[in-house]
Amino acid sequence: MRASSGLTVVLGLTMTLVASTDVSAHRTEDYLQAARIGLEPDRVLITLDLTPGIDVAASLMGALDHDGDGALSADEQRGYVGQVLGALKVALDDQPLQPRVVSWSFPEPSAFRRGEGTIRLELQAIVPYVSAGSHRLLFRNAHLAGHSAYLANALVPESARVAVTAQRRDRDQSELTIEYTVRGSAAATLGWVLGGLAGAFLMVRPRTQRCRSRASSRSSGGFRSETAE
Amino acid sequence: MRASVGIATVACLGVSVALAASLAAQRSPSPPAPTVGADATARIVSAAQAFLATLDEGGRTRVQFPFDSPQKARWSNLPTGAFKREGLRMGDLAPAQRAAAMALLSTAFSQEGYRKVVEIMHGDEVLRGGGPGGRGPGGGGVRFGEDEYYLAFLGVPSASAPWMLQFGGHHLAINMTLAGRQATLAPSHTAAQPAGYSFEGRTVRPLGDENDRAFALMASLDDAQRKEAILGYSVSDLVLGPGQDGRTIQPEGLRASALSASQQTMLLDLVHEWAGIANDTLAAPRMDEIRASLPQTYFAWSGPTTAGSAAYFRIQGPTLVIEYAPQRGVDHIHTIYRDPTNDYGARYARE
Repeated sequence: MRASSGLTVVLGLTMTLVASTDVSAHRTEDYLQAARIGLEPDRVLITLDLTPGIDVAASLMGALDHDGDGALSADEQRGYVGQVLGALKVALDDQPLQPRVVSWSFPEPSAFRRGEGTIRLELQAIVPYVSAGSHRLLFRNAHLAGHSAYLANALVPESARVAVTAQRRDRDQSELTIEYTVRGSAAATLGWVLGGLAGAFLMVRPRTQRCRSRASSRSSGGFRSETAE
Repeated sequence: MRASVGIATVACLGVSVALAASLAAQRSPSPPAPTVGADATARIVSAAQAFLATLDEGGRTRVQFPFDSPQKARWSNLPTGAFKREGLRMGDLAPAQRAAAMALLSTAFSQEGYRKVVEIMHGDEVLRGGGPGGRGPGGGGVRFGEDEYYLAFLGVPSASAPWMLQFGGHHLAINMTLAGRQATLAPSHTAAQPAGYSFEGRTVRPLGDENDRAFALMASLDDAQRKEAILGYSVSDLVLGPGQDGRTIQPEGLRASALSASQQTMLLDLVHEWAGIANDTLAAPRMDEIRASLPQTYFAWSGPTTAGSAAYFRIQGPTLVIEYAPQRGVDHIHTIYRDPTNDYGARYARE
């Protein structure tokens, strides 16, 4: 977080010095951060597209290009991806999830500097166990707050077992809460049915045996201790 | 193929004449031509072949791509220099070639669609510096203007087999896939900067009808409908713009089933601003499809509701996504038109 704070300061100082020139006729002085969130029964998939406007890109490049060679090395990219990840909060039903970076891509430095390039991060958080029923996913992006414009949207789930029921956001979309339901799968339902039947059988079986024992005892004209059996 | 100043002047004049003609006609649209879809496609194919006949071997090679080429998804809102396009650049065409290219577009598109395309191109010329409000040449090799638009064919123009007519540049990407009597424009991108400019003493607004119809629809909503339609957060850009193929976001907003019959007509008229870029015969079945799924279609709004303000809106149904996103003000607009079930004619390929 210290690195992220440093980045914010660098961006803030630099951007006050950069005159906003609409040379490319496109986004200039803000940083568009767009999150698209896919929900599956056992995982959360997040695509994060980060498009720094031309003024932000110049500052960002300066802050990230530690060796000053005009390009972002794999280590420099990795370091930045870590900063972005550290500014995200993802929680399911109030329990924090730890998204993993599945992949990332950076644009060519020239496109980056022009404010025309997009950094894409593919993140995934495994959900160990989600019961059938209603759930609530929180996504919060605090990366470079104050310099950013945010978009956050739930994707239509690919699994028929998952249905989004509501989306709630704060004013600038840096925070999104997705309410959704998960239906039990056919396999899971069958498992529950079989499990239930097995449990019922195990509960009923000793009584049946007791009844048989008692009937047998009665037929033999005597009583036998169950513990002695 | 090298464009000279004279050629550029002639071409510019040609586009200006087309613009003037289309501007004169824009308020009095003619009824659909009495042809069936197959006839419409045949006319487009004929116009495409006429354009190809103006090219030499090198030109034909540059304009032609395999139908399943990655070129299909190679389009952008960005200007030349910031994004590398393939195909034939309008500025590299001789006047006769350029006239044939524009004739093809006027055949493939409706009168309104062609007007929109020409006005977007002309707006970019204004942005380049060729008119009031021009900003001069862009930095970093970025180029604006009517010459910076590209034409490409994916697949061989055919009256029966699928192929695509791709035309685009800064603020414009029309991806028209044709398959016999069927056609889709999805995904296509229209945009404008400046959103309004002067041409021959009148104000031209390439996306003005989209804006005005949307505000009129909003004005027609009662309080309960508005409450449903208005998103409680700001939307600063397109959610499903260039590079977002294959994604479908969860719909939000007011369901069209909650609209009155006249409001539904207003919504369909608004949708037609995009779907109706295709020529009338090919657009009609698409509009029928959108009308049929109206009960499952949503209208969402973010921003002020006073006409003249910068506001984002989205129309989303089972086969439709439209977004209209002002870029930090009313003078720079981005829009997107998609069909999650048939982008690039995916459905035709399956059939």
